[in-house]
Amino acid sequence: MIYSATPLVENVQSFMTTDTPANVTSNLNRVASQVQYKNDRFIVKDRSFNRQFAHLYAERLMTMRKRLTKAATEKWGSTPIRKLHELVNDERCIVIGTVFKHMELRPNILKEVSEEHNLMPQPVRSRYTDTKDKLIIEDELQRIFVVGDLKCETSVTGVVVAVLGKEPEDDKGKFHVEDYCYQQLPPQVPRPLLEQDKFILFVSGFELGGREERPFQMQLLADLICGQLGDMDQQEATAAICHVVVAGNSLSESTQDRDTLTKAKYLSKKTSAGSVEAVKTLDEFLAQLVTSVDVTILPGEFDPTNFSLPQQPFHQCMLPVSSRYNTLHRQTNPCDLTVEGLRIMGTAGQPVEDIYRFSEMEDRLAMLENTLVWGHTAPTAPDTLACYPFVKEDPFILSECPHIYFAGCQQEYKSKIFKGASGQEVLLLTVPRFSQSGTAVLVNLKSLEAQPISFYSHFPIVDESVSPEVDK
Amino acid sequence: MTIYGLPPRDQRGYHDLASAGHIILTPTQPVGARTVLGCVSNPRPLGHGAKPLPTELSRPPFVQRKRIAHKSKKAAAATDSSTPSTSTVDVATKNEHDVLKQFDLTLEYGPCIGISRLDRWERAERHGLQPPKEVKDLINSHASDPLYTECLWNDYNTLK
Repeated sequence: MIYSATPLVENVQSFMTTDTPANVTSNLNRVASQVQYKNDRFIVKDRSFNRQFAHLYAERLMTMRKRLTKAATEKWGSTPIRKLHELVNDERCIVIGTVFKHMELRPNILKEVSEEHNLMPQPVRSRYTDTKDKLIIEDELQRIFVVGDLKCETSVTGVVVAVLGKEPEDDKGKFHVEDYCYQQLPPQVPRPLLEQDKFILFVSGFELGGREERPFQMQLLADLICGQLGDMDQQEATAAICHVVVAGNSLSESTQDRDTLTKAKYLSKKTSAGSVEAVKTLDEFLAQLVTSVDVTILPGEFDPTNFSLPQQPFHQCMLPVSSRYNTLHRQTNPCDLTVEGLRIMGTAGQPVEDIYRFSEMEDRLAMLENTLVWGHTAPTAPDTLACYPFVKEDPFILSECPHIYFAGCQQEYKSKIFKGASGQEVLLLTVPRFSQSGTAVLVNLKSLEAQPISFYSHFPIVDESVSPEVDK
Repeated sequence: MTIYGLPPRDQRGYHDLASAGHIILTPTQPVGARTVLGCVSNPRPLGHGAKPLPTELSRPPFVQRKRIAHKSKKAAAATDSSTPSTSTVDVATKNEHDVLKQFDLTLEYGPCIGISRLDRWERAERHGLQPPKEVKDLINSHASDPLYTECLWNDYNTLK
């Protein structure tokens, strides 16, 4: 078995022997897999943007309140649960509300357009946190400052939490927290037992159309998956890959260049947008894959789809050749799918990036774990992450515990098994950018192990200043 | 004991008293210069729905309704001439609107602007907040009237 942390080496150098008959052609069949998608809640049906986000927050609070009440009573017994307007001084009680992190450096549209500040735009930073940030907890009617155990550095706006503490008589307006809790991890469907190894390949960040695209490595990847690379053993192992997930940023950031809008028309008339070529390349690449394996493609931050979460699937007109195959599944970001009975959920990494920008945490995998613990895939939406104004439900709330939880377009590959309180096991996965690292991730569905697979090439650098003498 | 008369000139802003023309005092109240019109000895408007200010004399609790300063006399004439049956219908409609307004102002059911009352009722129902059934019945019985189906601040388009 090749694709594992401890590969069994067998039949070494068998391809170098000459006694294999020349006309041996064996057909290897790829394992079949059943795929279902549960992305209905992410598909935006009516585009009514005149709703306020207050309804989304109210919906989030009301949904999480029930679960948090249950978690809080189980954790802290009979301490009373109070709404903020019923708080009594010095009474130890539980408050359930949404966290709001007050940050001075947060880009604020009001500050930008305010005349007193001389209309200077605020500089773009990688992190907007500061030591003076404060946490506030808000319920339906009021808000109160929070001090104590709930740390500002690891919290973000939009998480619904239950805090245990009291509002002391001498420090009114602040709630002193002794302890806090989030929703209990929802129950997990038991993982089905598979007889043979089946793999899912996760890859993200091809970034076509930009300077960092790696067409050679992508071709290696396509050849490997389609079984044109490697000896018999490798091809047999590759036949066990039953699904490929392309998790975002298939196009590069430079294809989103808006210069054509500001340039004069006569200069930009004949030039087509960078994304047109890039999407064609993507289509050709996917067409190679879909002939032999199920592919799920998620849009990412720089892909040609809407900007706000949840991003809608790629339109089939953009991928005309590959869309003809029913093995291409164009899905939303975030994506909720079931392969062979295993629940897989993930995003193209935008929520994790946003949490990085507005908290002091460093490890992306830890942030991903936090979103699982908080019970919400994208807590900073709609505050700092663009989001569609939902009214009927908040689709990002985790109601079921997945088996695999991934975030695409990250800096490096990292994986971890997270164990929940009632025996849930989740494989947390950060999928690295292919354009930077040339790495894809193989996950074994039978044993829930993850393994990176890297494609590396070296081209001698041609020094263009020393050009060969051209015959004149 | 009933004293029949109009309120004094400076206190004629009070619509309901002007239209009623009746001021009922409890028998224990001394009839003096200050307290002839027990209900309006305090000329400051109490604001909508506020509790009455305690004064040293006991008087029936007074719920002030909206001030209609200039229209008071005309309204008095109009309502005096209208038949009793329509006035009860008006009061009933007003009560319905009050019930719906109270539903809008109850913040436990979430924000009310930008969402129709029925959607808001269903959202409250879905989350187990037990909104009053009569609100839903009222909305459904007047399903085409935006005064019933949309929230209190529906006319303020800038708020949406």
